[in-house]
Amino acid sequence: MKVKAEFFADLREKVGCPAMELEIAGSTLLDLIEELDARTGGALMKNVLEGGKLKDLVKVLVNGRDVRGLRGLETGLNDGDVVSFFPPVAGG
Amino acid sequence: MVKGWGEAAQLKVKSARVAVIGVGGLGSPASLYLAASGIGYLRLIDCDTVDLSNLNRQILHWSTDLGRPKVESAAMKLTQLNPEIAVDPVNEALTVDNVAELLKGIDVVVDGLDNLQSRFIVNEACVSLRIPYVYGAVYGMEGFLTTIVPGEGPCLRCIYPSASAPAEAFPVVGTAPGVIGSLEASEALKLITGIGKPAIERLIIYDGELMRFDEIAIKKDEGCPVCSRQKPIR
Repeated sequence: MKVKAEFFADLREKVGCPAMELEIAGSTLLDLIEELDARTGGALMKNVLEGGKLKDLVKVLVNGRDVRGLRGLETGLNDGDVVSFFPPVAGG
Repeated sequence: MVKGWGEAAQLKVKSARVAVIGVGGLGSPASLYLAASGIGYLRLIDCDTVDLSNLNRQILHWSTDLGRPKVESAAMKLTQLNPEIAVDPVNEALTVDNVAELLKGIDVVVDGLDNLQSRFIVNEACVSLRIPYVYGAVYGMEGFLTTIVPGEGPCLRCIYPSASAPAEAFPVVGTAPGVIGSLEASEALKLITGIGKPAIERLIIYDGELMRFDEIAIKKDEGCPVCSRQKPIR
């Protein structure tokens, strides 16, 4: 299936682009993160996961819904979904 | 005249007491618009002095202010802009111990901070004191805003479920806090006058790189250690 991933703040720089559309073989958020990590030279996983879980201060949304209110890393994805990654932002 | 913004609304603005915490990139435009709009009492809280690296975005401070306390530099300009209002400069670092005292008598808090840890302190105090808190933050060409009204929607800890935050420096393109600080002032004025619909339960995202605004729905965390027991204030 084809999904769109969006990155904000310093993740945008680390990953190297504001957004990416890609085909993934798996069906969950974790599958997408693994695929993105492989495509970005390991830029994503270390910045959003810790001990196999999402970092507390990182928000991940699927079509605008926080995955913490869904099934976390096991949240199922569908064709056309938009997945957004937000690290904490605190400049002023 | 803009619908609803008559004498009654202006009197509410005149009698309002607003705290701007941090008079840097966000706090400069926010406090300029609040002062210009006639907020009767403006408390400015910041313990920093003006540095050359601030001047790309902190528009209340000029090259002639280098080394001056920010609250002093800000208060001078805001008073010149509007001599009819009271500007109260507080040159203190905000801590867990003094936050309640610093926010005493305040109707709305506007976020001009530059780190997440201080925002957690302000968030917790605002929930406890039941003061609406307009949150804004920026990174690069991006900005984020939500309006926290204790008991009505999520607080900052519902959004970022962690008590600790890394202390980091965030690079900022000057206009990003200009956008978000102005929006924060708009939200404060709406809360004070009761006009319009504040960004409660909504995180507004400004993406200056792609030039677009988005919003995402944010929900109160029923198990939030900070706000889960609060009842509505309005």
